[in-house]
Amino acid sequence: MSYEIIEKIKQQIEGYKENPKWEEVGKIIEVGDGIIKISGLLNCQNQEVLLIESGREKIKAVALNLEEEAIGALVLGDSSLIQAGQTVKRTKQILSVRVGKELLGRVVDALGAPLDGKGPVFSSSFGKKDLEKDDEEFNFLENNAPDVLSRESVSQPLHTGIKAIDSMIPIGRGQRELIIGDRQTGKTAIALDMIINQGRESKKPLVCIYVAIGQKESKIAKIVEILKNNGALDYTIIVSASAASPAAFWYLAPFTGCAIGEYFRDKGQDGLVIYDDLSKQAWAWRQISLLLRRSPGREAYPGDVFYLHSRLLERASKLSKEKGGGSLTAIPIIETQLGDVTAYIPTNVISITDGQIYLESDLFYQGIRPAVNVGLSVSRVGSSAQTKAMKKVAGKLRLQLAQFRELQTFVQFASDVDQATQEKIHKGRIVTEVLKQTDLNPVPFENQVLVLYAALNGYFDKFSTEGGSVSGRQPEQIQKIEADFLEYVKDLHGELLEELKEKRDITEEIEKKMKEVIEKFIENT
Amino acid sequence: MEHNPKIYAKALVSVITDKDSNKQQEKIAANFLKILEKNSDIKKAKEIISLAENFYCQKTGIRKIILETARTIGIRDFKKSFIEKGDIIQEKINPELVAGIKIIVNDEKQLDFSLKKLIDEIII
Repeated sequence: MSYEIIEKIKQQIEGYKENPKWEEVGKIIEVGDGIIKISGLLNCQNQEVLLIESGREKIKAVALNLEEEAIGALVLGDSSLIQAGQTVKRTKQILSVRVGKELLGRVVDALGAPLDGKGPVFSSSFGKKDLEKDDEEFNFLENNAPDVLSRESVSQPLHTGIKAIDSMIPIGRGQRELIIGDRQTGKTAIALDMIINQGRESKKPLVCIYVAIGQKESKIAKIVEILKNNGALDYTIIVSASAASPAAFWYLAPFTGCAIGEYFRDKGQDGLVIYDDLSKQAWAWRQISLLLRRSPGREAYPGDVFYLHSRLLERASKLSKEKGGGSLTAIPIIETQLGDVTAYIPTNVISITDGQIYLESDLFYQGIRPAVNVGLSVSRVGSSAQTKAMKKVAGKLRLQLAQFRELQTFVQFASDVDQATQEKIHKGRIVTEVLKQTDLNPVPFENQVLVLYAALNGYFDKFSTEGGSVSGRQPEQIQKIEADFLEYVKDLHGELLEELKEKRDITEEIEKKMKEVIEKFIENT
Repeated sequence: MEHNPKIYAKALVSVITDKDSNKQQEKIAANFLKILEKNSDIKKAKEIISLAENFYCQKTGIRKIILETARTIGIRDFKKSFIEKGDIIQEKINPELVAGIKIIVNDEKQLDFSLKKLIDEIII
């Protein structure tokens, strides 16, 4: 092995052609908090990578502020080694990340460097011929979103495996759906369920990219472990800018995730990118902007914080057939403070995205998990992508639940309630129970259709009646009944599930079969 | 009143370039230092002089050339071939270069013939 290395180095030394060129250089005039000011470099471009010659180390920086007298740059390395007076060189390269299918199953940082200890992501270019080096593909971190003509409207569903979402807030491939809620309301759990469900739904799952911004390393390690244990890591890429990383990495990580997703999208594949979470990216951008002495605006954020998120999320798209038909779905996450969705960043991202899934602490503590507030959650384009089967089953679900919530509030004040109202409340409670789901347990689409069909058509009402009196009803039993029902269908009527999965519609024939199966289960129980 | 080093440097260069004889220029330089002392800005002198050097080079078209080598070597012949009349030459020793020479012009562009660069390129 060492002999081979020596031989390769020998060849390189012998074949080395000196090509001295004038290089453009500048000098550092100011250093502080990950930001440097450089004099010189007159022809420097915005977003260009610069090399700081800091003793033996070469540290990268990216040019952000091009001013008349100096350049403001963001350090992409250890800024403690940088001193005023050091030389900075241009590289004439715009900030980009190397992309390829080799990234699947890997954990990388905001610059694409591996963090998982599994060695280099791409085989080294050491000793490769120039032609082979040309095959290396790089994507710009800041890239233009596809134009109108390259796009197509969202038409294919992206099943999350979460009943409440797939039935009432459907997501389509190429959509941007925000997950918003306070801390500890299950935002990341929904994202993980989404990723896990992709592997369970199809043998060729869409590529998932999970961008962790400002999270604890221990949490990231836990997420990797969960994905690994559920067989989801093989089709997932994790871009990590942990809490210990500098603000530059928090700011860049979502762009890196998007650039990687675009590679798969442009190859005609479907991608899903989850930004967990964009509020931290906005904090990082605020810090960087203030250090670059850009004027602060509302909540001290810079004026372009809307553009920061809009240009990122606009890159999520469903491409037309002429462009390969690939898609990139974006799921940004925003953490609210005490449920305040009217703060600056939440309102910005709500207005950019095609809908939001609003998670509420109160619901979470009541035991309704996922704690989705159905009234405030919406999907603006997903309904056109929802499968026919789910549309037929869950068409009235949102309305029923809304009526139930209204009645429930009313009943709290009224002592006498008529039979019909009691029935409605009871049904609402059953549906609420059916929509409950433990995390890391996504339900396949066909199972969701069956369960919701049974619940909404009153087949489960019988089980929740105990002792024959209305007051003795216990909808809490529903979850166990649901599990038994699904097991029963899987074991004895697997063909029905297969048919539903294949046709994705409830034909008369399928509906007849569904009724028969449900009735049989009820009789036998 | 406290002044910006850039303003001092621009003013100094503007006055110095108007004078032709060395004697007059020396006198202006001495006066300038006295003004700095009077304004209690003498601690900024180093920064001002460095800026003034750059402005002077820009204005007169004179090049400020830094020749960086690993150790002192005879570069007189080299100087003759490369350097034009009026160029300001500075020689700098930087052992990190290992061998060879690095030429920096006006702090804006450089030509690196050092062994350190070769080694770096082979390792990459």
